Amino acid sequence: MSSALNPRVLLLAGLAAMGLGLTLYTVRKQATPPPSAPPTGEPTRSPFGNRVAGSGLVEPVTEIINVGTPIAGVVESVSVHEGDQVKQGQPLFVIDQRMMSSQLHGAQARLEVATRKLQQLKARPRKEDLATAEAIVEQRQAAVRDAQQRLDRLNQIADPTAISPNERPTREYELANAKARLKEAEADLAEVRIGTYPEDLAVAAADMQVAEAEVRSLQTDLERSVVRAPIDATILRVTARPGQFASASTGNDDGLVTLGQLTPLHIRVDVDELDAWRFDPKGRAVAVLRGGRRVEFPIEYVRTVPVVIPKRTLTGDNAERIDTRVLQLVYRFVDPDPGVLPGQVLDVYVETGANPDAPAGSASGSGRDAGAGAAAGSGTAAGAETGTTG
Amino acid sequence: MTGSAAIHASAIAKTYGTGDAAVQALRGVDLQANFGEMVALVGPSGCGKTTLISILAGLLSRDGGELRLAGTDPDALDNNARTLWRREHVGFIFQQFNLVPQISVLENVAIPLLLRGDHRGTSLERAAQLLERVGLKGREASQPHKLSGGQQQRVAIARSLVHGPSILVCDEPTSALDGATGQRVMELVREQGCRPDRLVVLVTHDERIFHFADRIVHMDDGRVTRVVDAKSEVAALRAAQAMENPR
Amino acid sequence: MLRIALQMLFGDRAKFYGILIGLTFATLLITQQSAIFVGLMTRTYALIEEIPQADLWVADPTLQFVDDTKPMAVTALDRVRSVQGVEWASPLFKSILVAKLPNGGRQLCDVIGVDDATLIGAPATVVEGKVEDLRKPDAIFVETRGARKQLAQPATDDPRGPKRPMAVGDVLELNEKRAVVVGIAETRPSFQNVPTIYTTYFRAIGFAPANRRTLSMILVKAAPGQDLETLRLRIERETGLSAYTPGEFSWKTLDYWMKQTGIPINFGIAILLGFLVGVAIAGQMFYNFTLDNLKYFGAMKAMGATSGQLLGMVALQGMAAGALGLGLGLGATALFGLSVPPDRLAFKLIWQLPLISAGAVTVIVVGASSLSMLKVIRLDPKEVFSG
Repeated sequence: MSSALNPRVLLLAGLAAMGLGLTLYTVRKQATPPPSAPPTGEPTRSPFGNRVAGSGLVEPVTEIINVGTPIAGVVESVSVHEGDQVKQGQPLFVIDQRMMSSQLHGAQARLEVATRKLQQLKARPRKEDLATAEAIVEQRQAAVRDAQQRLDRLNQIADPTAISPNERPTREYELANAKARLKEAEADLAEVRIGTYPEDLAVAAADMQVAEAEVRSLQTDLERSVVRAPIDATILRVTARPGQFASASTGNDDGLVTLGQLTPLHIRVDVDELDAWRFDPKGRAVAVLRGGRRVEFPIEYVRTVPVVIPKRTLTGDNAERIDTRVLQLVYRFVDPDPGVLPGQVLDVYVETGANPDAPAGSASGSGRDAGAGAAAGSGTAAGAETGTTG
Repeated sequence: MTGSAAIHASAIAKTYGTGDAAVQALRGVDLQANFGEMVALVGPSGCGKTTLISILAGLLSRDGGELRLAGTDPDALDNNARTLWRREHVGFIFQQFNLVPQISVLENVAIPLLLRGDHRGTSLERAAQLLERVGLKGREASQPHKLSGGQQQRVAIARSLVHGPSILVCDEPTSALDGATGQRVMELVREQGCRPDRLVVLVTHDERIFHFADRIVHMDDGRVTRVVDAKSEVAALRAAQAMENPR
Repeated sequence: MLRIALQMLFGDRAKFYGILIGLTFATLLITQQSAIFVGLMTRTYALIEEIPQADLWVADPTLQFVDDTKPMAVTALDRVRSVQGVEWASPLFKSILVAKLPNGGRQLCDVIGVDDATLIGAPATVVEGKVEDLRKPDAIFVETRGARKQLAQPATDDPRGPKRPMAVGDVLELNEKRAVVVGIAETRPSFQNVPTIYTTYFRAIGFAPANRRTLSMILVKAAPGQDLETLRLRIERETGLSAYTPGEFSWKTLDYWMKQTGIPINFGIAILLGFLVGVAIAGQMFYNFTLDNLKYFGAMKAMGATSGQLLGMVALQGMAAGALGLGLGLGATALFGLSVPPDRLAFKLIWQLPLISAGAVTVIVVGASSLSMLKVIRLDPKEVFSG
């Protein structure tokens, strides 16, 4: 008999309850977060609590050697392939030699000429010339003696009248003339006897040296047109192609042949200059492969590049943009064949001392060093296991 | 309580407002009334009878004098206790019935019981009995405004009696009704309301119902002017009417 | 008596419906406007919610909000990786770039570059293609809304003809560089309503005009068991960058938009209007309802109703009307929210909003009831008498 809950009110109450229910439903529905995408690869993680992280570029122990050509020219032949092992001095490629060869022929001919000329000068005086000059001297001596005798005979005649007044001067003149001609012949003989003057000889010798030098230079060029491996190494890249013009200009990053020694591999780690103070060379270090599998490689400290340099982005289009300054550290892969290749970028974590929270408290205390050293020993063993899985 | 005084009042005074604006509504009212009787309170408007029944019903505090209502001084109780006392001992019949329009007749009758926290079922049962006694059996579920004025006032009578009050206050119960209906309503009040353990206080100007009362208390200007036996009063009135309007 | 109170309320149909409509309308207005506001505001940090893998977001200290790009040096990533307690750190590129569409049109796009190795930050809900396809050359992902709207292409040869959504295989140009759509993803709508393009970090750098600094943000995962707040402070101290939890970053973003735009004021006015409607209609009617019933309350008071009982009745009436109005209003709001597609309108009903509306309705009802109650309390019981 109660009219308090009449159908009208019940309907309203029902609608209101439905409204509340709908509200709750909407709230719950809108509050449910959509699923999040699972990462397609595991991000790299540091095995160390206190560490410095950096990105490392794998490089050969020799760093990457870009072999260029000392002389410009068209590449004639390439004798190595990427991945080849080469010995020091092994030819890599040859620059076109035809021009140099023809120039060498000319130079050699010029050397021949100079040599002959010198020989010719050195061969003087000739016997025939000497004999002729001596004969002339003897002939002139005989002429002098003849003129002397004829003058003496005139002087022996006592009767001045028996002699014409012109007879005596004539006889005296003939003698003087004969003596002068003898002197001339003697001078000629002396000249013949000397043969070539030393000055002339020196000039000819120098001419020959010049020609010789030219030949040697061209020979060297010819030798240099065959580019050889500077060290025992692995060929990493070959960009030289037969027929391609190879410039000898400096400044091209890409050599015609890129090579380097692959064992052991090094990794060059960029650490932000602001974090550099925390770096501890004695700390354990690992390089971690990016993406996908989590593979850690134990690495050993080799050296620090003692100058802070502008960071270069290693990938992407803006490779040359200077971003910030970094300290470069060089590490060596403990594993002789870690399965990474030069040019690959890995994340590197280096363990540091226990207190990174105090910015002023940089490396100090011997205990810290001892601890880090001991840790490094165990770290390499543990790291080697993970390394072999990759 | 039978036989003892239902109302014992002496020198009751009441003033509204203060200072110059003060109005003395009651200037020392003495009144005695016993259980079992019906007392009519009459007088012109502003004579103080509303103030007096408010005090006698425990609705209003007095400013002076002595008062015992069924042995209790309502002013000795705090506000809440007085409300609870009123709930138990006083029944009301109003001029305008004051039935709640949105609820059924039966629930209206049960209000005094529900107010004191009685169980709803028993309260409604009791209310139904009362409705039967006022002759409205079968109309329990009706809305009050669907009933005639007389029926509505009968509902109000049932409501005023449902909790068995010691004092029944009837404020102009017939003013909103025509004469015949008023007579029947007053007959019902007399028949159902008057009991040996109950005092009925009737406030009215309706001379036609004076004869239902046992005594008539005349008031004027805040004082009781005279108290007369109802029978003689009624006789006198009839005589006066006869002289004014000879038929 | 409480039952009678309810009957009194429901019995007075005209006033009851008036009150109900007033409260329902007020609730609807308040809740719906605030839900749109919240929806709009939460879109400002959609990207943060889109990448839940990150425990912390590291960015330049001058960054004001998530769409603000203040790129950092690339070594910042290694510096963050150097911090103890960092499980991993992943780079994120974000920039607005102009895309040249296949039909020759140009469109601003929000380009997100995710870590090449792990693709952390790539969209979660892929509709077409595979996330791994991002590793293909020139690959990009577009999101569904952008594909349907700004990036839509003519379906026929007629350039003004009907359009089809951008699909896998379409080729765009980003900054004169080729980009091939390899997948479509569903993402949260963003505030700026610019199509989002996903690609890998280094490819994104390639798309972007030459900039010295390219690293927009770093996503950080804390090592297991690492306290986030400690890590956050450590990263900030050691790198000089700012680190935020997703919540903090969202708030920072939200705060920026709240302070920099008139949006809060606009919505505040709308919400206030709703509240005033509630007060004007429902509150007023409720008060009138009590006034109408005052004489009955008076009669009850005379008959021995305590003030407590009467107040209880009024309070129950208020509560009943409030609860019904609130329920109907919230229901209407929820229906509205569910029926409007999210790319048309930002609408987000968070659990606080129904409570706020309930609070507003309570204020309206309590306010009106209090006035009514005051009237009931002050009621002089002797006024029930006709004299």
